[in-house]
Amino acid sequence: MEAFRVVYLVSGLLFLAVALLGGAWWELVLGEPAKPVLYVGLSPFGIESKLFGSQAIETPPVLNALLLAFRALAILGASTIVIGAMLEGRPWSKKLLNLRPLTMSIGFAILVAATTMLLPRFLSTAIPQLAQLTPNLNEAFAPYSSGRLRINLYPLTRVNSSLDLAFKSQLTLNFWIASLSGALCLAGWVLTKKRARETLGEAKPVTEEQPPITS
Amino acid sequence: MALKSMNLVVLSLRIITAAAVITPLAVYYASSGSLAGFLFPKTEIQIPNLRFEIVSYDVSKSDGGYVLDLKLSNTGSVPFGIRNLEGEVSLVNHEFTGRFSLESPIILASGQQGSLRVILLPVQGDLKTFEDALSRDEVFNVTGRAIISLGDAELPFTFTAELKPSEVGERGGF
Repeated sequence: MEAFRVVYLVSGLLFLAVALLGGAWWELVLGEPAKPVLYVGLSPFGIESKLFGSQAIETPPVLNALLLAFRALAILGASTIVIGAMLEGRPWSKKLLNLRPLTMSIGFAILVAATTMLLPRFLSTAIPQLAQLTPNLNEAFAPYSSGRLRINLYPLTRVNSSLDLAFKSQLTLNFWIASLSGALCLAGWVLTKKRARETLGEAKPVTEEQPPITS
Repeated sequence: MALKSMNLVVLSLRIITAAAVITPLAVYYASSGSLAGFLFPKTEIQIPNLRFEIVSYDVSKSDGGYVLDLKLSNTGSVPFGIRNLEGEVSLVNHEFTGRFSLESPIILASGQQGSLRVILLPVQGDLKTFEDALSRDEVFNVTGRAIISLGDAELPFTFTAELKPSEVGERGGF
């Protein structure tokens, strides 16, 4: 099997596994990891938010439909990569190879960065008391961070009291596997282009020599 | 022939891709009934109702200290409990410091009642001073930390309060 096909095959299988198994690509855990106060898990295929162990927000149907469509596209993209990489003898097999693992990983990373940057600002504007309650909220809403979030309860209870919660936000193993799949996909694409250039280079001298023979 | 099969593969991929996008949207749209319900349904952030009340309390002397027996009622919508509680009580105007701790953890389901026992032992000064100060409704400081259980979550909680005995009765809960 050609090198680029092996690279594409590994990429396709990894992305297929990620798309089929599901799970969050980025998560925010507030409180003890075993019993979190707030859990937010995001991926291109689903959104999960739990407050005190119960589902906090119901996602609208349009979003559920889009997430399902993304999942179907990911499974389709990964499956076609696997099939395209394996069907070596077919002239159309290269048409099945695509860069979906790469575009989806990069797109998700941009979306998470934008969301975590904009959400605290939006929340601070929508709920002005939030700055008083949680002065270091911005730290928790970062793509990759950990620390302690102090929630000042004085405005609510009129007693000097606070909640001191550990928080951790991170891109999960699923995201890194998807990114690895994307990187392999890119490597496969580069190898394909390189091979195409080499084939073209080998073919050119032959075509130059041909006219004298035919004439 | 090869070109024909290639075109067929490309066309098939385009059709399958379009179907993968359109089908979920069509199914969800059909099940939601209207465009408004599909795009902006009436969703509420389901924040659990956290509320408890002190039903009654009793203070008794035991082994050189006090035992505070609080009867609590969980009037909220999620299980509520205290897994750990410890801290210090001190008088503002007199010399007395005591340490308090929870005798055993308590978890109350929604609508359930239960008793919480807190033991207070003197560290500095004597209990008589503390008793007299409380009977005169004098200000005292309470500092401590607790682990509160709410639903499936646990919250580390720290507090500092300057209270009067009469205010404690007025609060009766959050």
